[in-house]
Amino acid sequence: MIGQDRQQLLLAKTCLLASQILMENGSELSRIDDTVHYIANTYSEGNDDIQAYVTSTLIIITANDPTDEDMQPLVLVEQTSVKSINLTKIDEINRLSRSFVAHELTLKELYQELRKLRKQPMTSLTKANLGSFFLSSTLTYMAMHNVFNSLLAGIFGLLGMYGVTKLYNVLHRPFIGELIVAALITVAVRLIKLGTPLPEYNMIIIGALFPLLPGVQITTSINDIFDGNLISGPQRLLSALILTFTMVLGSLLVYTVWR
Amino acid sequence: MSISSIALQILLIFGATIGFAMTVQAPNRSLLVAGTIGAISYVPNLIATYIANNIYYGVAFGVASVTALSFFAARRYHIPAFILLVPGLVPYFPGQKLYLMIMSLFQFDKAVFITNTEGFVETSVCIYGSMVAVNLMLSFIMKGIKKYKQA
Repeated sequence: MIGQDRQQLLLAKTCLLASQILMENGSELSRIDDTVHYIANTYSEGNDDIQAYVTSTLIIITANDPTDEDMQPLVLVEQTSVKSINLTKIDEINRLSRSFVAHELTLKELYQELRKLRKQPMTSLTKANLGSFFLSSTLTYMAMHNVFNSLLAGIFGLLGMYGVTKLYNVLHRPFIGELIVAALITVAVRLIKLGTPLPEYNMIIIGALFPLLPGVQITTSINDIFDGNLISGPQRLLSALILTFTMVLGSLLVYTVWR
Repeated sequence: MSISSIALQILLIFGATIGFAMTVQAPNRSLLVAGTIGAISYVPNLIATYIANNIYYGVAFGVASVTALSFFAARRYHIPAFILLVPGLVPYFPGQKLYLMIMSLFQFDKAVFITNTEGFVETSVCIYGSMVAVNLMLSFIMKGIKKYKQA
């Protein structure tokens, strides 16, 4: 019986770890629920005794053993938050859970793989910076049809992404990096405008800030709301709106001081 | 609109989609698939906008194509649909309207605020309405196909 309880505990811990990695990297909640169910059902078919309750700040996993009436329900609670958006980790969890479902991995191996995955950074600053350059320059070109302006937006987009990442690593506080970077980009664009005519220079600022806009959070929050997760959905939406407000506030500070 | 300018727009959307996928650390094997979905789905958007002379029809058709293509590509390439869907939606995300909406709010410019809020809300409703409708439709279709195969 003790061995069975240990297996049940390992199963619950595996589900908790998978949920934690998914949540920390910006997954939608329905994926977390599905992953927990896939893992639990593969361990023992028709296993509805593992339940996950997930909000954007808390994960609760409960496990029962239906064959053991004396067993107290096992409850694991872990505090969590969205640390950064990393879709590669979500893809990796998908790959690992598929391998477990196909019985290519045992429960213990899956748990160890998940622990390794959580520790791996898997974030490439170069990739993010290059992506920001492409995104800012292409969208600005589509809006303005001007190569110089789109290049400016691309360069500021790249520097903005680099700045936000570095500031977060130093300060460990959300929103502050975006505020400072938005203000600096606005100052830089206005300084260039002093020497070169830049019609509609606001579009360059918007283009440069586009990679920092919370597109993923807004999409996941709407998905969560439509899935009936009325705690996490609005929480994420609010967080996304505060982030956007912060970025605009950074620009506005510059406009207020430098009229 | 000439064919070369349409081709250029599609190429730019391809670049923007890949760019956004890179900023959110999408896996390398999904970048080309996401870019292609973004580029292909821009064609229905252009056609619908041209025929209806209304950008919201274009947004609705564009988002519907992104959702449907992501759904099928996810099954084909074993990549979570969410990873393909998020970058694919980039061309339709009303970032400019959102920025101007908040900016005009702080600057007490009511007319600009109302115009941009209206644009932001209408585009958002269009995007998410279309996304949810297609998602629901596809899951019903897949269930139907499964039942048909079992029978």
